Amino acid sequence: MKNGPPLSRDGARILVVDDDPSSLIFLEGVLVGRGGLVVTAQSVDLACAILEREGVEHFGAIITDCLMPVKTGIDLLRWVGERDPSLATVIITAGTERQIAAESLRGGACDFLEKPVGAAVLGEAVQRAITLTAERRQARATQAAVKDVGAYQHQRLIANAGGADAWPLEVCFHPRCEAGGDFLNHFRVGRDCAAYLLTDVSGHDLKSAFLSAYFQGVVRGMMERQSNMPEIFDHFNRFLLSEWQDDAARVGASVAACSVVTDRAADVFEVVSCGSPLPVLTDAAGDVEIVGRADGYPLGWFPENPVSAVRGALPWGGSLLLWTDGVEALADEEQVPTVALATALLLARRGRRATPDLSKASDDLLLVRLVFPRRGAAPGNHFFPLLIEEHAGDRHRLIDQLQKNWERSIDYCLPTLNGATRYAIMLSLREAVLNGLVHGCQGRADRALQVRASYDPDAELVRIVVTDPGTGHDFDLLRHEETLAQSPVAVHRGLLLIKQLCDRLITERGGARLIMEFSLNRSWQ
Amino acid sequence: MKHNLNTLSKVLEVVVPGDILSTNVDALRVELFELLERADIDRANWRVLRLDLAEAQMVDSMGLNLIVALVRMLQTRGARLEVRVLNLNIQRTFMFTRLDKQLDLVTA
Repeated sequence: MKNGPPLSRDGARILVVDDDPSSLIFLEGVLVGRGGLVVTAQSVDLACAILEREGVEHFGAIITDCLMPVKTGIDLLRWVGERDPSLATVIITAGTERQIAAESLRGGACDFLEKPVGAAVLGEAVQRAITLTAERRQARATQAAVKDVGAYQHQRLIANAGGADAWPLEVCFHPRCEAGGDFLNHFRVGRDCAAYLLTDVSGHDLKSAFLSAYFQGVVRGMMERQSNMPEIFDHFNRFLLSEWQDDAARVGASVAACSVVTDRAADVFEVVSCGSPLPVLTDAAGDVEIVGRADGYPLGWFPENPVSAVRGALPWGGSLLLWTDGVEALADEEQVPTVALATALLLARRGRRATPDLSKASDDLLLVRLVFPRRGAAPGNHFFPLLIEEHAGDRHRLIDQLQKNWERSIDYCLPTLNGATRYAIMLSLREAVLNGLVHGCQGRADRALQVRASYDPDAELVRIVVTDPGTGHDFDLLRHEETLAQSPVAVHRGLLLIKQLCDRLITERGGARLIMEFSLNRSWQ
Repeated sequence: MKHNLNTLSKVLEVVVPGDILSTNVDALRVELFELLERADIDRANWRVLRLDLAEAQMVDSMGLNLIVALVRMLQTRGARLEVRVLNLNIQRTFMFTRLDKQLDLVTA
């Protein structure tokens, strides 16, 4: 008869518990004959004392009779479960004890055997139990290792967020699992340059974490050798396609990445994005724009990957927001624009509002705000983006829906906004957009209007810019206001309304560009 | 829209359901002016049109234009416009635009 490999070949002991001495001798004999290191106990209390004294982790399986005086095999099962749920237990029951058998399985036993137990059946059951214990403990160790990796990643990411010579950074990081592929790294390149690299590797496991770290290392090394980001991204794209893919029909791994490289001496910054959401720039005046080109695919998808850099002047007094696609997914769930969610997360970090509910996040969340303080000025007075929208001219019929979306966004970021100010902002925005869509765009679908809104939490100011492609109006707003005072006229009432509702109105290009500022501290008495 | 004509006080009251915005002002205008032009309403020789905007949360510029049109129409008729507004923001808008000088604004 084949017995298989010795039961305790890895040194794991087997604890046998039975109040019947003859049964105990039989069980021990069978298991020793199969190469097991057996320890016996005639009661649950004795068994517990042995496990405590010698250490639960040294045992690979427990075989226990079910019904014993004082305490039962179920009591032992419960005791073991509280200390080491990975340790597999086999319960031996009489045929009439089916209910107990069912209870034991529910309680975590891996198997139950009916008396009388045959030697072969016993040996196989114990073999299975030992194997199961080993697998469970391996899984537990792996999970602990993943947690360690995740904790290290988090620690490195937070440590990356700042440094004596770096631009001030604000980071919001909420990983979905212990370890994953979202990461931020920043490093100096020479005396004047700093590189910021946001990566999102597909997956939420150790493999993703490994690839993320590998990519960051490649980037750093190549930058120090004077390579530029488009070259680096192209190189890594080819690497992933040639060395990280077993099967041409499957994508082995992919990396969405966005880099920002700043050069203080040249007073420029450069953005390269591959499959990553584009950064949003908010300048010192509060103007908001999307930076970069959405040409590139995630690295590892296609050999032809049109990666290019977009350059601009360093936005002194402004900031750049970057995020991974998990933030966009959560924004969709919350039904707000991504910039509104990003601003809400950053304001929550400053204690300006409660943290948004992150339980709906289906992916890692990584959001970074890179701040460019005005030269020689104290930090502060930096705007946060609230809205970036573009609307075709024929959307004026949907103005009610647009207004609902604005209300959602503003309420999300500024939940304690004064009702009167909220009304002023909403009505002004409605009037400005209607004016732009109807007059500036002439209601045409091939013309578009832009809406940009931003918030300065230090000055408690909301700034809204509405721009249309038209030529504006040819009337004098101030004189028109006086005329209105004399007698009611219907024309241009919207612009006059805006002028009354906001704290400052700047009209450019005859009103084709309206800049409205609202002080959130305004008294409406 | 609901209306009530008090022949003793010569007041025609019209209750507007909700906001007056660019998106519903055309339909409201048609309904309102059709009412005012009804023979029985016209014959009653009412002197005050009381527009009840108690249910409104927002009135935009197109909505204000409708009210201005009413003011003008009533001026030719020798009648007054009274507008009941409970929403503070809308009240403020009437005052900003000085429309409260052209009609009787009731805030209670």
